[in-house]
Amino acid sequence: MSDALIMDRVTKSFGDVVAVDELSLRVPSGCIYGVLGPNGAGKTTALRMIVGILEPDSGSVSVLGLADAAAVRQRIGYLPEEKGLYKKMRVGAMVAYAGELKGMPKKAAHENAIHLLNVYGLGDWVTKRCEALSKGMSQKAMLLSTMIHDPDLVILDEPFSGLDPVNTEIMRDVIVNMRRQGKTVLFSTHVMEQAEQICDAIVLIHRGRKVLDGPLASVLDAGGTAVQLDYDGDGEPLKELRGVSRVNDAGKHAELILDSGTDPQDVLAQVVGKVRVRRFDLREPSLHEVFVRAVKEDASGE
Amino acid sequence: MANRVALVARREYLENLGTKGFWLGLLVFPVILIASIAVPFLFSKSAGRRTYTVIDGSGWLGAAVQERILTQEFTTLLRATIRIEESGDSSAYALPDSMVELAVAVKPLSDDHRARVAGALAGSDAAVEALDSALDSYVKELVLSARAEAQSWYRSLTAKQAKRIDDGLDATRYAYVAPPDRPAAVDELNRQIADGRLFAYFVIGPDPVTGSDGTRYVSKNLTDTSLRDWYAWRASEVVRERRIERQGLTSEIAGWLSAPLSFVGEVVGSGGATSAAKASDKLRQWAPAIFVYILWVSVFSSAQMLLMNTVEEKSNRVLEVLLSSVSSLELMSGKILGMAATGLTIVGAWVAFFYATTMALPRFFVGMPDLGLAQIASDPVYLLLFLCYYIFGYFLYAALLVAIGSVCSTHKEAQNLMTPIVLALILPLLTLTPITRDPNGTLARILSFIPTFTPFVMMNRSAGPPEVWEYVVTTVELMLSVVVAFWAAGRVFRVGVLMTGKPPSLREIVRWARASGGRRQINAL
Repeated sequence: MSDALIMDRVTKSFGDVVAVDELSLRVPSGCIYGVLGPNGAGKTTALRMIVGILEPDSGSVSVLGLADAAAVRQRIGYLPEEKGLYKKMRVGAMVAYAGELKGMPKKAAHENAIHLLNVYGLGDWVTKRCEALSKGMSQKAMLLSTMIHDPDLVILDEPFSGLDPVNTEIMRDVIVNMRRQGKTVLFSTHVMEQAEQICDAIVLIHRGRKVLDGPLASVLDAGGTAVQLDYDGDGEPLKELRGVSRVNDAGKHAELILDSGTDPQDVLAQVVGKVRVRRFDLREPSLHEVFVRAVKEDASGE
Repeated sequence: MANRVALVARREYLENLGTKGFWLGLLVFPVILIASIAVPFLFSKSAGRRTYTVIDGSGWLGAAVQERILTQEFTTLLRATIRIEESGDSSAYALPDSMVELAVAVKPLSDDHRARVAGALAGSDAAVEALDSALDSYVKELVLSARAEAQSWYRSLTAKQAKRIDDGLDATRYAYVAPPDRPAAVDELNRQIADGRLFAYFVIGPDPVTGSDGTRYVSKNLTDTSLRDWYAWRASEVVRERRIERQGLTSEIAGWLSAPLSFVGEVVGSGGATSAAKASDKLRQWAPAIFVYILWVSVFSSAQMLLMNTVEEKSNRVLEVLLSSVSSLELMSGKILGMAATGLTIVGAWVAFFYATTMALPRFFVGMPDLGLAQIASDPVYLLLFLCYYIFGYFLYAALLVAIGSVCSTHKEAQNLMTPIVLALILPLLTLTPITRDPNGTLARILSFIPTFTPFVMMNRSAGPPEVWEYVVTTVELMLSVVVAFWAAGRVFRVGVLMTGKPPSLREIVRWARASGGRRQINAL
């Protein structure tokens, strides 16, 4: 089995609003797949349809080779963006409950819950109430609840939102670790840098429609050449560089998108006279650039 | 499916057991029950006798009223003494021997004759002389020899002793003391009232037969009118007889003219035969009303608890996590069942407590009339009806409230949306008394067929009882409504739990419930 998930021309609207419009995608088994898009692009609706919380108006969703998400529920783990724990429940019981709902026998669920909590450093909290957990710890507990039943496909909706750097790293490790165990991880985010760091493949969604998708490397390669520039000084003159089609200037860092045929040496020479260069790195454009460009093309193509 | 519903229900149930609301709910009824039975009882037991005195401006009425009171008391005493003597152990009551002897002698006499004997005991020699010739001289002699002892014994009787002999004795509640024999009696009495040594005093005007001029009742406590009413009633009796006498009629005719008719209450049993009404019969008529009230409280509080708990879980964002494991219908059913189990636990504990209490009460409170509470509490008809109507009524309201809970993010929003339901729920309480009085009336019948009222109204009517077809039709109707409510609630719940932000209006909710599965409105995408 090569595809963990296939969506075929899936459409979903709420009243007059088309949240997901003819979305088709394939997620190969065993990869980390990013669903990218700005807020309100329809990512959450798409994920909810995959998990079976919402029914598509038209089109089909096939998860782990089956058309009915409910039938494979026990092999899916889902962590919504808006998530919480039963405040009064003990942490161990809470995680185990998630496992039991996925069909695990009571004993196995409890043993596994305690095992996972120990592995992820929450061993001391097993018998404490969930309301006693700090925000980072409860995020972790919720993540463990989604993976207690050893699912084949894990779906995470904005898993990084609201996390501090330490917890972001833990989340990233967990995701990478799941791939190592052969699981498929599908997550949504509106932060392109995170996707760039860990995704094997991505889909970009804008206004409910797929803008582009594919393995990360090929998506980025198609974007042409760009320069990642770290600098000090006023970035304003960068916009007047010859041979540069666009500048994504963040103040200390700028991404220069080169016209095809432009010699990077020529650009470097121009830059040196204008700002103080700390790093000049020739590479493919960032996902951010790819996304912005794709959305623009999408808009002009209408 | 069933397994996941059971899992959700079990979790809900266990969590509910840990809440304060559960334990409060469990305790509130026993506390109210004990309080409502024990407090008035203990209060009446502990309340001291009201001491009073009379300043008699007429010179005759005060004494006449005292004689009247004493006559009444001796009538009761003779009856009580006969009862005590029959039960064998008269020594425990400190009754004078002469009283016991007299009681034995009057046992075969009619009530009327006994009243005359009591009057003679209470009154002067003339009253003894006036005893009917039908009474033999032995009784007359007994009265003469017993009179002085009986009167002084009665005056020394304490409230506690009186209560043991007979609860109905006025001596348990009121005690007469002689007024001070001084010109400044009023000042002295006012001081005594201020000190609390005296409860009240009566002042009788110079000519009570003509009118109430100068007649007064003086006390610190004007809210408790029982003493005033009690004394005024007896004084009026005497005055009325005197007024009739003035019209040239004999005192016998006067007494007969003013004697009230008394109707003895009887109830018709199932066989058509009548029997004397007991306190328990009256209670039995009212038992359904009590059941309705408990039903109402339990249905409403469980459904309300479910609403609050749904809102809380929704605002905690816990529900969507579960939705990838269970369908929204499973989740909703599990929650409703879990709360039903909680409610049944509470109600079961109540019934058990009620039963145990009514069994144990007579042991703790000696002298309480047997109200047959235990029989009512354990009446299988009432219990079965109660259980059925609790379950159906709860399901109906739970479905409505869980749907409301699912669309709200805060308790305040939930309260607003609940207002119409609360208003509708008040009706069964308002009709409680009218339906109890007329269980098969038009109002009761019409309300029976409105599903949201069926459980309460039919429970209320059960003493009637309604006809079998009414039970069948209303129950079928109620069950269908439960199914429809579940179905509609399921649709609203499915949309509602994923929704954030402002709650929809009632009209929008109704539209969701009607809309086909595919086209639903969600504010948050």
